[in-house]
Amino acid sequence: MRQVGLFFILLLLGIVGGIWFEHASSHPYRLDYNRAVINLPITYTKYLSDDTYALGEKYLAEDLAAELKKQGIDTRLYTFEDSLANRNFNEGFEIFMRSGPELLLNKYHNYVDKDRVAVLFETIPYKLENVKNADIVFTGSLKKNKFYRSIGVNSYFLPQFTRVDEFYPSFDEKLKRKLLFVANQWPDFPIRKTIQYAKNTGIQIDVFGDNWGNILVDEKASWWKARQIPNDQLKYFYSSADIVLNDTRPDMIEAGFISNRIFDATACGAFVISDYMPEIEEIYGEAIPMYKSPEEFKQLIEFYLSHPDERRRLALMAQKITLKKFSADSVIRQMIAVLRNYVDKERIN
Amino acid sequence: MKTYFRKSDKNSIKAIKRKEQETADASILFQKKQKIKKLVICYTENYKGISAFLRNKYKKILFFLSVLILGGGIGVCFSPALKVFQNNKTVAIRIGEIPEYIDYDLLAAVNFLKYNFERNGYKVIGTSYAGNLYPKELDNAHVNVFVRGFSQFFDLRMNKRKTNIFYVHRYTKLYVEEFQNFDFYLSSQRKLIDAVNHQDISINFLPGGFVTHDLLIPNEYQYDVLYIYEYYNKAYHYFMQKNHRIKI
Repeated sequence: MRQVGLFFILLLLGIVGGIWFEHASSHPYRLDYNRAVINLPITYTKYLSDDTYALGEKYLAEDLAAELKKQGIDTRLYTFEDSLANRNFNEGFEIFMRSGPELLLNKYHNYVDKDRVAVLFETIPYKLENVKNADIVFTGSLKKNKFYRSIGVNSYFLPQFTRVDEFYPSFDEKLKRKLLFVANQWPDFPIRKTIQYAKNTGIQIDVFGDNWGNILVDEKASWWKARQIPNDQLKYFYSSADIVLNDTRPDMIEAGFISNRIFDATACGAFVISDYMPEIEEIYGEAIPMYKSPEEFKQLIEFYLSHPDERRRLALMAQKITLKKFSADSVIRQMIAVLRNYVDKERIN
Repeated sequence: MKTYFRKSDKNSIKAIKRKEQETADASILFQKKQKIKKLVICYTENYKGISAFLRNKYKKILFFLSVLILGGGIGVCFSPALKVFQNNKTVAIRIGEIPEYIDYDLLAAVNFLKYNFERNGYKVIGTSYAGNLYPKELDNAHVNVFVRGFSQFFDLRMNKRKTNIFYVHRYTKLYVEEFQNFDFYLSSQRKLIDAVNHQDISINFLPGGFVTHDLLIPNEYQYDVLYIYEYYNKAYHYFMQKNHRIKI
């Protein structure tokens, strides 16, 4: 009898424990810190899978999402349409690559509970009022990082990166060319340096990108080959060109952001000539020759076109540097460490 | 007298001595064996005892654990059924605007909404605002009313096991994409309903009403302002006339 009684008491205790466990473990609004979204300034979701929708940030966001997912943070891309879809938004990290009224970063935690972490991934300069509202800022500029830290922003230098599984040597005889320039002309900005200098010095280059219709006209119209190269085809173009040209927006030079083109092209083993940036010189040294004037532009191109061995040597040097320091794997690993540390330190979870 | 031993006698003595020695040895050996035997028996008996004890102890532990686990399993499975007996008429109001931007108009609309729930037997267990929309205290509310602020929800979390209502009273910019994934849609604005309803979205009308002034928690306003809705309401008119502190 005693044993029967003991049995029922234990059973009851177990039932109570089970009910308590089921109740206590139910947190319907708790966020998942193994998941993230990247907010993009794109209106409709269908544009994410539209290859003709050429937005540099989209490709970068795709690369970032892919690498984060590989390393344990399941990440999806969000458009405005998604943010209005009223699905259960339980991702713990919300990553911004640009800010705007629809992409709320200004006064973020006025409208978003504090357990969600706002992350700004700065690849172009942002307004300080938005930067200050992020919980964590990753910036690709050492200069900016130093400044942000000095004003109390929770900022980390995170080098830009390239996906070495997407960008690797892939020479294609059919795509062989002397000079390649892949870039869009920005509206409301002066003509890009590379095109301006090429026009001035009479050097013919092959141009791929958007908004060149009004600039490359008459005899220069033949320079403009296509509006876009699909991201998964870029490696063939980079690998098959004798020289890949690069230039950087003035505001990005000032802020210290290196164009991702440098990392992608060098990862493919391409030889790159760029406009001058002290940050590129610091990282790559002589491996990426740089020009400061149209004369230097012409001289460098003529010299390296006639010295293929020298091109190969420098390209290999640049490739080694890129693979060592700017591969997505190592860069994103650093990012995740910062994110996890933040959640632990703030005891958000 | 000469003692004379026969050879055989000598042998006999030796034999006797040998025999005595053997007997003594045998005796000692026998005693030793007896001792060992006793020890063995003793040890065996003790091991059995300990073993039995240990075995019983493990049996007890196993018994306890099994019953507890069985009970726990039953508890976990039974827990959803218990919810039927819980009070499932609890409401949480989640307003997608920060408190500083909420004026009397929206406040009055929300209070009237609460009044309607309570009148129908529901209990409003709390109100939360943008920036702290999901406090723990409101986790178990069975009905979640998401009151749309001037802009869209930037942090909308849906608990699909509960009833989720989207209530639109005021807005600066409204997107038709917001009218999805909720169980019900409510609005006090007929124009909005007319504009949206033809797009295969059904919005229910929450007519305007009033709550007494005491329920409104004023902000730092010079006047208590009551807005009149789209149609003439006698009760509003009477209320306004009665209360001198109101400026229209």
